[in-house]
Order: sequence, then C-alpha cells, then structure tokens
Amino acid sequence: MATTEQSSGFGEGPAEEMIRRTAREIAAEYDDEYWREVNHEGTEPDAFWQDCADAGFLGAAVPEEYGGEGMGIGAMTTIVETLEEHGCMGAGMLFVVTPVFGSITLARNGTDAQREQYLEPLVKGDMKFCMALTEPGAGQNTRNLATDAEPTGDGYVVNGAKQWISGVGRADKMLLIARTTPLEAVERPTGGISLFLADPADDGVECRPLDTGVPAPETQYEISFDDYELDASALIGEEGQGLYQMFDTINPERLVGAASAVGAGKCALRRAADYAREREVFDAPIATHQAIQHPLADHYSKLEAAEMLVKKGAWAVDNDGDAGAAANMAKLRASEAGYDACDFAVQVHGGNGLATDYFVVDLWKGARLGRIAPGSSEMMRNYIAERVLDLPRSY
Amino acid sequence: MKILVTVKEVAEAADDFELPDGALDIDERYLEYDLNEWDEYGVEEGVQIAEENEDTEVVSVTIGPERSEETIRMALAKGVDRAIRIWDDALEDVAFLDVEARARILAAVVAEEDPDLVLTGVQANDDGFGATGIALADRIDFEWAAVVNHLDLDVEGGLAHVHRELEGGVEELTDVELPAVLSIQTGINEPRYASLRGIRQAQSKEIVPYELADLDLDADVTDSPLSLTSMYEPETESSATVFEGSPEEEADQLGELLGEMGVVEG
Repeated sequence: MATTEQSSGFGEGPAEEMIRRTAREIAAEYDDEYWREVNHEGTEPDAFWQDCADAGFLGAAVPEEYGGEGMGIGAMTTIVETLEEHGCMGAGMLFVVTPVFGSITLARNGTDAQREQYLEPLVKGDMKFCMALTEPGAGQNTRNLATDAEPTGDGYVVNGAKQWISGVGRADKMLLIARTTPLEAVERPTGGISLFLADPADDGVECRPLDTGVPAPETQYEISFDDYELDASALIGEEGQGLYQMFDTINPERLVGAASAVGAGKCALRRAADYAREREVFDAPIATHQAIQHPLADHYSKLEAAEMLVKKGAWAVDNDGDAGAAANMAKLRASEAGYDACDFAVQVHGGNGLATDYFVVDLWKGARLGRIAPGSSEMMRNYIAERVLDLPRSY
Repeated sequence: MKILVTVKEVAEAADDFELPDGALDIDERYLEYDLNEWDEYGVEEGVQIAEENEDTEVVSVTIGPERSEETIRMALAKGVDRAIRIWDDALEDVAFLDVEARARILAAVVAEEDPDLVLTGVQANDDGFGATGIALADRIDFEWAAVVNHLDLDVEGGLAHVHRELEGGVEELTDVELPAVLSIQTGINEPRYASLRGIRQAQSKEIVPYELADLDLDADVTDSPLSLTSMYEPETESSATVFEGSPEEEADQLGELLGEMGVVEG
C-alpha cells in the first residue's frame, strides 16, 4: 500500500514540508557572518546561490520543459520564507531580482527563442537578472513612466532614466519597461508600454550605484539610456501591452516580497525569544515578563496571518486566478507585520539590538525597505480601496 | 544489483527538557525527529552506487511508526527507489527495542528482498549501540565491514574494497566479498539536499508498510534480555578559576595550574 497522498486537509502537504526541510538545510550552511559580508561588504553569495540552483529552487516556478520544476509560486514563496526565517537575510531580494524578474517574466511572456536561450541558464544559476521599472519622475506611478523606446522599423531606440534599480551591477540581462507610444498618443495611460530584454553592459546604458544605508545583497542603481539600440527580437510579449503583461511578474514579486517579510519577521522574533530566555535583568529572564511575551505572541500570530494571505495569493497565481487583491493584501500585511516584528525584536534586545553582532538591526533595516518596495504600503492600500472596496481613485 | 539501506528516525531532545524521577523516556513535547545522521551517509552512498551502476535498485528499510514516513520520504527524495516501513502493535508496546530484536526483524527483510549489499549507519545518534549492522550480518551470514569511510565497489567481481577507520587515525584497507553488510561512517561522502525534483518524485514512490506477520515473525521477536531500568541526566560539574593580576602574573598562575593538573611539566 502506498502512502503518498497529498495533504487531505488544511495545512501543509508532505511536499511542502520537505521543501522547507531542504531550505532549512541549505540555510544552516550559511551563518550570520556570511550574510553580514554579503549584505554589508558586497561579497557575492555565489555558494548559496549555487546550492539553491542545485536544489532546483531557482526553477521552482519555471515549466519543466525549460528545465524547471513547474511547482509554481506556492513553492517559491515557501522556499523564500523558510530561507529568510533561518537567517538568509536578503534571499528574498535575490529571488525577486532573478527568478521572478527573469524566469517568471520570460516563462509567462517571453518568445519561444527567449525561453529557449535564457530559462535554462537562469534555472542553473548561470545568469543573473534585474528589472528597470521605476523612474525619478514617475515613482510608484508607473503610468507616468517616460523612458521612451521609439520604434525604428527593425528595432527600438531607448532614451530615458531609471532609479532604484536592484542588482544591475551583477545582472547579465535586464527586464526594461519603456514607452513605445507616447503618453499623449495612447487611448488609455496604461497602454503603449512595452517590455524588453536589455543588456545592462551596453555602451548606451550607463549605471551608477546609489548608497541606501540599508544592508542588502543587491546594490541600488540609477540608469541612463542614451540612444540605446535594441533589436526587434528584444521585445518581450506584445508591443504596447507591457503594463498588462507586467502583472504576471508584479503579483509574484509582491508575493515573494511578502514571503520574505514574513520569514525575516519570524527570524527576528526567534532571535528575540532566544535572547529573552537568556537575558536576566532584575533577577529573572526577561522572557518571564508579559511585556515581552505578549508582543512576541502578537507579532508571531500576525506573521502567520500574513502567511495565509501569501498562500492564498500564490494559489491564485498558480491556478490562473485573479491574484491582484490577495497579492496586494499579502504584501501590505506581511511587510507591515514583518517591520513591526523586527522593530520589537530590536526592542527586546535593548542596546544590544543596535549592535550588528546581534543581527536584528539588519533585519529591522531590511524590513523598513519592505514597506516601500516592492510597491509601497500606500499603493497596496490604494489597490485594495479601489479594486476590492470599489472606492473612487484618490490620486 | 539491489542495495538495502537501513534507516532510522531518531529523536533529538531540546536543549532544555525535564526528566521527572522514574521516567523512562523524555516526554514527546521536548523531542524533534529527524533521520539518523549516519544513515544520511548510507543513503547517499547507496544512491551514488546506483547512479554509477545501471540496473541498481536502492531500497530503504526502517522500523518505525507512521510518523517516521515523513523522514523516510526525505530518503526517497534523495534518490532511494522505494521504502519499507515495519511497524506492528507488538512494537508499539515495546519500550526498548534492543540490537538483537532489530537484527532479527531486519534479517527477515533481507530474506524477503535478497539484497547484494546492505548499508547501515555506524550507529544511531539516539541510543548509540553501534551494533545493529554487524549483528544483522552475523544473523544473515553475510560478510561485513564496520566503520567504512571509503567504498570502491567492484560489481562484476562481487567485491567491495573498503577503507575502515580504526582508533588512533589508523586506516585499514579490506576487500569484502558480496553479499555484505557495511556500516557507513560519516564523512564518506557529502549527502545531497533533497531537490525539488527529488521531492516531486518522492510523492509517487512507494513506502510499503509491513507488520511482523508479513515477515513471518511473531510478537516474541521483540523479546529481549535487556530492559531499560532508569533514565537520568548526569550532573555536570564544572569549576572555573579566575586569575587576577597583571598579564604576566596571570600567565604564571595559569602555568602553575597546568603544572598541578599534569598538563605540562615543570
């Protein structure tokens, strides 16, 4: 008699628990010092990334025909949350930048040739990606983006600027979002935007690093495009439909970002609980005080609640449902709960909470970034207000 | 060729646990279960042999309750082809399954499966007898080698060239004729992670549950002259000597103490 049935009720099936085990085993190989060097000193996390590739993690959401595992965003969010929970600070950002921006975009909207050429090296960990979306003049208002990809008959010429672009320095390829029809010439402001596969090392692309003060595995950049020429074959999907196609990338991005926030929050809370058990002040471990216990319990339960939203959103993506509402709610709740958890973890540590040796201050800074990107908490609320509650557009 | 790998789900106690007077086991709430560390290496060795030799099947066998399937499935995800899990009401009631009882049960599985090679871990990191593999070899009359830290298998010649780790850093090179039982030492290989592909495949691999009767065994197979009489936490003793003075004075005091303890002479 085989006993291989999937989970028959609520909760995690055997496969999900096994994925978590492998993620925990990989995480255990990389200590705080490894991540401190990656996040503060710019050391390449190559060994970690190769382990993730060998375990099939980078191809979790890539179809099997392109060398992936075809397990979907559900598996990827489980992986990212577990890695972050077990101390791999920045794993979420690494997964967003390459497997989401690269693999998911091309798997969903790339041409056959693009998929053939790029998905396998992406899955094997041989290629890194980045996405150039946000602009100095547009910020979170993507419809106003002004980087222009002018059609020339056999290709495009790109001019414009991007800002707050993660990981350009190590990226082999870039997902570039640009206008192929000027804003004033489109029927709807969401139209006329296209996706391109760009080369960040081209002479027409100038990248300058930005200093953020947030420890992270990927450096932020601003980019200028100066008569950067692209072949017609660089177009991803359909010209002018880019903003609509972007949702195939943006919703997974928000869900992976949310999973990362949940994991980092749990990591901070576990460290806070461990510290509270050991730290004796006024003749007793501080863990014996409800002023410590109750907030820890509150934050943990809020992270678990956010995780349920992540699972709901991932399920919607993997089952071709409308994932927008769940993805935005998951991102909002996870990044806010993650930040609050990290903030309290610092508080539990007292003065030690601000010492980098105790790690929680790094988690706190990373969690602060999570409330701004991918997509600010305010933009998540706008989406929920307009699309779920049918309230008028406020901006 | 068929390789049988014995695996065991072992319990690891939390850092802080309570053991009331008279208790014969640590309460379930302090325990976490995982695959025995030595068996991880046995599984990896078996899977590597199968990857290098066509038509090789790797079967894992464990004695354990249904809960242990979670652990066994990790072995399936790492490349084991199928698994056997033995459990029975008679085993449920046994507080302490000794080496002989395990060997008798595993011998019945060997009779059923007829493997060419049996790999066991050197020991289990819960009860630490370190004897099951060799007791099994004795019972089934297989050749054997213990504490194997390098294995070079000559399948056609029916020989296992093994390095055995002896005390004091000495290594022994031995040829063992198949069929054989080898107890595998940690470090013989680098156990792989269960990859997503392996995890997917493991969902459709078979874990066959056997009861004792399925192996023509009676409940008295668990009879043992050994019984667990008590369990306690040994008291830990430690003393700290604090040296005071200048660095030179502290160094002198340390030297004196090491001399008194016989660590250094003079």
